[in-house]
Amino acid sequence: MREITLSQAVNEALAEEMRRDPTTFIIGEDVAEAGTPFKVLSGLVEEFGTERVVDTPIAEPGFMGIAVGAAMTGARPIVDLMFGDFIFLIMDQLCNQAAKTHYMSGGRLSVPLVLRTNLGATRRSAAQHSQSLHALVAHIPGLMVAMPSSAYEAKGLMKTAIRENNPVVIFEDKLMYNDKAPVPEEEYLIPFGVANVLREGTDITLVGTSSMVQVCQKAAEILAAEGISAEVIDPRTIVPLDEEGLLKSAKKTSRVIVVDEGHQSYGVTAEIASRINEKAFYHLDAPVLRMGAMDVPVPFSPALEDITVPTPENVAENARRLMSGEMIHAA
Amino acid sequence: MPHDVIMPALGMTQDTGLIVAWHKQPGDAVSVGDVLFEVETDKATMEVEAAHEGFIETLLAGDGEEAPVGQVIAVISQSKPDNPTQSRLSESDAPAEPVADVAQEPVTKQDTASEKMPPAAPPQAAADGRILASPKTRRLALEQGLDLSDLVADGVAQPFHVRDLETLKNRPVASEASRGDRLSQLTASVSKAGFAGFQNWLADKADVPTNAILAAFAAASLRAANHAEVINIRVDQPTLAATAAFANPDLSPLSQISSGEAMPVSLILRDLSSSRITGSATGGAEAPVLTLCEDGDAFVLTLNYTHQQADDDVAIQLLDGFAARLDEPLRHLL
Repeated sequence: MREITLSQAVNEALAEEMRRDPTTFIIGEDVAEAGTPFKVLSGLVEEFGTERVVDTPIAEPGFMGIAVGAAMTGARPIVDLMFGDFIFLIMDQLCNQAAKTHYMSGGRLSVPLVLRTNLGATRRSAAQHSQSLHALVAHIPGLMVAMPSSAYEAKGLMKTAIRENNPVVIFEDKLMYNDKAPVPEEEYLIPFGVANVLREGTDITLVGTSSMVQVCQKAAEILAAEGISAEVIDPRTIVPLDEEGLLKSAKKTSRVIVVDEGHQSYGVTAEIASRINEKAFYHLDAPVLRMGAMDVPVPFSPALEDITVPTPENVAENARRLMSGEMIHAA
Repeated sequence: MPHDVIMPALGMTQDTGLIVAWHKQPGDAVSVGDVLFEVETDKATMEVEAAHEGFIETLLAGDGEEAPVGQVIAVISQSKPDNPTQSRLSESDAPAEPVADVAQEPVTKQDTASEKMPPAAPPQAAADGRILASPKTRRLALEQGLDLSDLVADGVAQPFHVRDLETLKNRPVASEASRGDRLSQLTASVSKAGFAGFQNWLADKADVPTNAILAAFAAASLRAANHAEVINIRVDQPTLAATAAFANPDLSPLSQISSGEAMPVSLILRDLSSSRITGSATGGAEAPVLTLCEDGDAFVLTLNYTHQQADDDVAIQLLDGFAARLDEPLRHLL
């Protein structure tokens, strides 16, 4: 199978969907001629024109509002938010308007909008351009949240998102745009709410989101060499969450570590860990551990930045501690 | 009156505290609110203030020593002590809590879980005797009829995990278990005269069935032995094809004892007195069995029980008490 980069996969998904549905359009900063600073959208304005690939001023609340209004009146906008950190600027449009309009209009209005943005640290972009804020929007009823972990996921989830009649936020990992993965030529969609087991195991379950899936995979390799069989599972969408798939894995192995790049406290890991705790309690031989980014603004110093995120070695170390039956956070 | 200063419990799960430094020396004056010492727990270092005014009469633990929560570590006297003393826990007769082997790294307030998590203290059994085990271990133990306290008895380190159940299953059948199932027997004999006389005397006063009297005597004897709240006696009279159950028959006057529902049975009394059987060693029922037989002029009493059902001490006291009541029934009325 051919291998393409995550960037190319997203580009293909957008192009294919825009060809398929003339009501779709892209709006954001530097999306047209520049193809975004990450070059993901290169070539699209040439094919679809400036009416469907719309450059905006630096005005996030403004163009998000335009997109919400367009969505309510028959279009299917794909909003490009250059850095996930800017989501704070559009929270009202996203969470108060887009998320709630269908509900508050008694179903008479829909907001078939896709917000395409990114997350991920270790790019030396400092605190205001490195955040992973998916937990904030996952908390809002009315929004779906997808987190592709590879080029394959990126294309399939994007297509599903565009065809979804309700608002979807997709977070791509900005560090992965050049990472290649096998992607079929034929069309495929990845359904929301279905987790993917990348690696089967029996001793411990490693749940990872976005690039943390790769971190878990590497940790699993390290552990395999020590005789510990780790299962790696990617929820792919955190809203809706494939609870059944996660519980099935937790019951099989009886030990779970949830790894996510959001901050350690009050994040996605806490939600997933809680659900496993509630619904698989009597199958757990160890506490469900959460591993997130340190509760600190992302440092600019590379040496410091690199230690604020989970690494395969950290994950493996915690896995070893759970396997040994160590009493974590002793009573 | 001197006041004891104890190592306070500064957290719900704290078992010991490390005395970082005393801020008072023996002989020093103390006012309410003065800092006495600094103590380090898992989480932070805190200052402990004096709750009483007076003078430090003695310090019983030294800087850097770890004392269990609740242990007296200093005494404050009301008047200036003539001979203030300072000692260390390690010198005292009482075995002092050993300082934890694992070096406690200073834990920052935030959970830095993306790095290594803070190293855990060595697992200890919970101070209140609670067994620590993972939820899966408890469920499997319950499903498989295994007793986690056997693991505690064997000295297996807590918290227990699923693999510890393998140890439990492979355990040789403990002497406790086999003792528990084995039937023990006690025998006693008393003259029939006392009881016969009592029944005659009682017949003038009230119409009390024999099984009720026996149940009351048995219940009283058992209660004196084990101080239980509820004692239910079932009296089987095979020769009369009768069986009756009495709930707490010793707590009401003889004439008012009634039979009825009485579960669970604490003791089974088998009345074979109107049979020709002179002795019995039957048991193996759901409760201890006290059999009453006649042999000539005497009652022969047999008590059969397993160790799961009763301790030897309780059994002896029960049988002896019952025999005494049969011998001198009026004692029961006292």
